[in-house]
Amino acid sequence: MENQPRSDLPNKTPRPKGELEELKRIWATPRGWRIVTTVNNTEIGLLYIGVAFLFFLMAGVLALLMRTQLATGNNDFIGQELYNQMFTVHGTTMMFLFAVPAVEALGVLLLPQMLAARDLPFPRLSAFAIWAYVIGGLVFFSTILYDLAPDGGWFMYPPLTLKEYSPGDNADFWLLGIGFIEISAIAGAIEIVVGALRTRPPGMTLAKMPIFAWSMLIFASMIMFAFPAVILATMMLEIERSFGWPFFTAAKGGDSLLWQHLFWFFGHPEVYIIFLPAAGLVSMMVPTMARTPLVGYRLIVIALIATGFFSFGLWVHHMFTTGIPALSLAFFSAASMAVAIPSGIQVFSWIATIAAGRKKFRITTASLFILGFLFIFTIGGLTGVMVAMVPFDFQVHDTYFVVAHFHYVLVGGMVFPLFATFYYWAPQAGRSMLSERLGRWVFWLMFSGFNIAFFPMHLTGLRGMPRRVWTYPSELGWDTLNLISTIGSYILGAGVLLFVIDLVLHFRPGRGGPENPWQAGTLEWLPNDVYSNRSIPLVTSREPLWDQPNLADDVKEGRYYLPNAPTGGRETLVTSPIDAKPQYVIQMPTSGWSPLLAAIFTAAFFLLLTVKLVTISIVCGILAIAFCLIWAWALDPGPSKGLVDIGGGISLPTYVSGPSSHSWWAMIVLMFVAGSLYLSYVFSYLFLWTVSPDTWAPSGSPAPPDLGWPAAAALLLLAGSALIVLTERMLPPAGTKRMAVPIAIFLAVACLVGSLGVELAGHWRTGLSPTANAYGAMVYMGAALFGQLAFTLVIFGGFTIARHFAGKLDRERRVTFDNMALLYHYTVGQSLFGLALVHGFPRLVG
Amino acid sequence: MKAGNDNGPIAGAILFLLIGPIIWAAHLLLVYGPQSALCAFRIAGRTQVDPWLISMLVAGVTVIAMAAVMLTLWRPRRVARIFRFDAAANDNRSFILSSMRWLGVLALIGIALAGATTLILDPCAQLR
Ligand code: HEM
Ligand SMILES: [Cu+2]
Repeated sequence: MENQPRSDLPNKTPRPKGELEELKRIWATPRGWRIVTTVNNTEIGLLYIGVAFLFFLMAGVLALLMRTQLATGNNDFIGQELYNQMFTVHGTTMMFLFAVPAVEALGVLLLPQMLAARDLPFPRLSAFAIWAYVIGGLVFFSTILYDLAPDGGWFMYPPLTLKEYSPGDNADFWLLGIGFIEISAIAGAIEIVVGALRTRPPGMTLAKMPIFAWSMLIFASMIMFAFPAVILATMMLEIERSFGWPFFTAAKGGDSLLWQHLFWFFGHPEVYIIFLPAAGLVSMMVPTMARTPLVGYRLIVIALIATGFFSFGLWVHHMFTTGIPALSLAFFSAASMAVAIPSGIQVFSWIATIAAGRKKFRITTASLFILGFLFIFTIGGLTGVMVAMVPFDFQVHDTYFVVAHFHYVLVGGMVFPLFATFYYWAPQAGRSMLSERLGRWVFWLMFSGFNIAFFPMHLTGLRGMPRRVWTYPSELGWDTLNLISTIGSYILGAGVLLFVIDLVLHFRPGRGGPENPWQAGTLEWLPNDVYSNRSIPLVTSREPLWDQPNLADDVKEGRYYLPNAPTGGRETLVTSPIDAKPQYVIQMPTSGWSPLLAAIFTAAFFLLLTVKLVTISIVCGILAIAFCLIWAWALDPGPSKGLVDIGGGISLPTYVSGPSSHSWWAMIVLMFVAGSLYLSYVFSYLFLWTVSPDTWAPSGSPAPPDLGWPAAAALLLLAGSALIVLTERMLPPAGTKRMAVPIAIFLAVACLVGSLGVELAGHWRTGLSPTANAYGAMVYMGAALFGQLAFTLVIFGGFTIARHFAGKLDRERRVTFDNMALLYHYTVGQSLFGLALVHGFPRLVG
Repeated sequence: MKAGNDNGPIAGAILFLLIGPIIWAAHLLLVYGPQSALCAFRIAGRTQVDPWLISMLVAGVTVIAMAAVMLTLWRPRRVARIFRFDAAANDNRSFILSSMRWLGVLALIGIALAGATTLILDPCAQLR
């Protein structure tokens, strides 16, 4: 190790005076109560993880209350109705408000640090997503205090959750609240996909990306494809509850199994959405504790991808007992077995790494939690393979065996790695470490408590105790086992409480903690400050801090790329997705009120809608859109800053439009989300047809309108697309305006609205009603999805026109236009497909 | 400035990497979709498809899907060319190639397991 500055590094030292101060000023955290306007990933990430943990505590309290009720037979501490609300809110909160947000929060908090980026590419989007989640989540949870909480279980199966059987607003809180929180999760996912693929440091090719980044990339891609299915399902159920479109009512040709299909198409991947990032965290900690590189890096990446992908082919294993033909079940049973292989690969890789280190595996609190995770998760995996066998599942379906199984998987696979993470990364997010001494107590209390609580449930389940019962008769011989479970839960609770005490005593958010206390090899342990790293390193291996001596020092002194702020604002480096070659410098927005206000009003819109305060809710909706527009107005800064030198003789643009810009990528990701929502719709349409073809046109419903109608609608769509293409050609040279542009955009949007009108009018004229039967509901649902996009484009189009009049749209500065054009063409494509389906399919089968 | 299109490589890389699992997904769709729809109709008495035909359909799709995956394992470079995939850095190339192969093998196992069930089970029998 030599300590002189090396001459082959991109930038010379000493750096000019004032450079560091400027960085500090630009990235400064807002002071006082203005802290709520911050958008920087380290600050909002901390808020995010903090609130997720709060939900864990609150749902945990509900769990303890439930366990208290179940401690003995014939207990009446909690009544039946409240118990039903409690397990629903416990399950829903744990899954939607704790597990997914917690890992997403770690992504926001740690990913940029691991990639040595200054921030994620869309800071305000993360801020918006997080605030929306905080507000929406807290309101949702508080319903348990007012007897307003949903009580249909965390998967909310109809027909129980239809209006007939669940009157009152309780179920609506679930549908609107959770649907809305999923949108926030998707916003975070977009951020993470683009962040992992485009903001890696130079030299960090895909093959050198930290495993956590891989797992977050896969996590986010899974969210993109899984969440839309349940969003569509919640939309349909809410529409059925509010307006009576019979998607799930058998008497009118609907089918409640449709809900199960859509829910589990999301719900099974959800388990892996929770588990994969946790596994990624374990893969980061194990090498540090074993003091040796991860054994089988490639295999782990393969295992992550394979689990992520195959988990989409398992959903029917939650429906084994619904009367689906045995052979169909067998397909999914087979896939469930196959998916166990990659999980096994990961476990072996970790064990091999622990064994491979030449020095002894360090036993810290984090390592204890990892070992605990391996133990518990393996048991959960074994019982998982058991319930994946159809005959066995028939025996234990809806018993406490299943409750034991999924808690082993979820608590073992996610909560234990999370606590390991807290102990391991606390000095990265704060100024000091947590107590190793208390930590061991926390671990042993949680580990023993967990097993004492949940292991006996396998037995209570085998003895026939059903889940979701508020009490049971004492003479069935379930008392002792239940009492043991309850005692275990309290021990587990004591462990968590001790952790909270450790947190209060030892965690101090802020900068300047001990530097690399575990001697880890990855970039998040570089010295950092509010601006993240002083300069962005050139990476040559998977553990740069182990293999590039002096790296920390060189980065800190600013000898690597971008040691300054050449555009005078927040910025970070964008690199190419596969090889991580520097491409441009992205200019990023700073703190502001708009994301917070937009989130508040979006939450208000959804929540007021739930309690049927329609007018105020619409006002809030309009305000939410207004703040989104204010926020969007500041984006698309234009090319005025020219080229900047980042060091090493590399000059990069500070503005890029077209397919390699980060906003183009975000739009593409969004289109995938919209596309998978639409595919879920197509599935639902075809599914309901197989269930009740007798309601389908032309025999069961009015025949679809003459072909002239869809032809007219299609022509309007094509004309609109053509107009957009023309507009692109007509964009004026920089600094000028051209009246034809706003006119063409206006006409294109009008074509879209016209097409929607033609489609609706055509069906309406045939006398088809959305409430008549499932066919009618499906036809109008297609139009509703089209309408949703059309509405977005009306606003987006107007926004683009306003940009033009403000002189912020031309041939150079065109990101706004490009994004609108992408969404427009996507809408046209989807709607043309929709016309073919809705008008063609009944003719085909009729 | 409007930068050139480098989505080709990344889209190609993703498709190339995931070709095995994609075939697996197509297989699942093509065996599960028709089988469950045809059985639903049979059970409701709307069509008179011979159950044997359903089994053959499943077996046929399985054989084709397995052949397709094996082809990609045997000639990965040709697949790469179809998707215009070409990673510049060398470690990336071998990394993506070997990952693609492993994923293909896993997909093959998945397809084989799912398809094999048709040899044992009556295609439309319900478990109730
Ligand atoms: C902290 C310790 C925990 C305890 C003591 C606990 C206890 C319980 C209890 C008593 C039930 C109700 C069982 C029934 O009546 O059927 C339950 C259900 C459930 N728990 Fe937990 N739980 C814990 C942690 C978690 C975690 C971390 C998760 C997820 C990440 C989770 C997810 C669920 C789900 C999804 C249900 C099913 C709810 C439903 O039936 O709709 N739990 N848990
Ligand atoms: Cu599952």
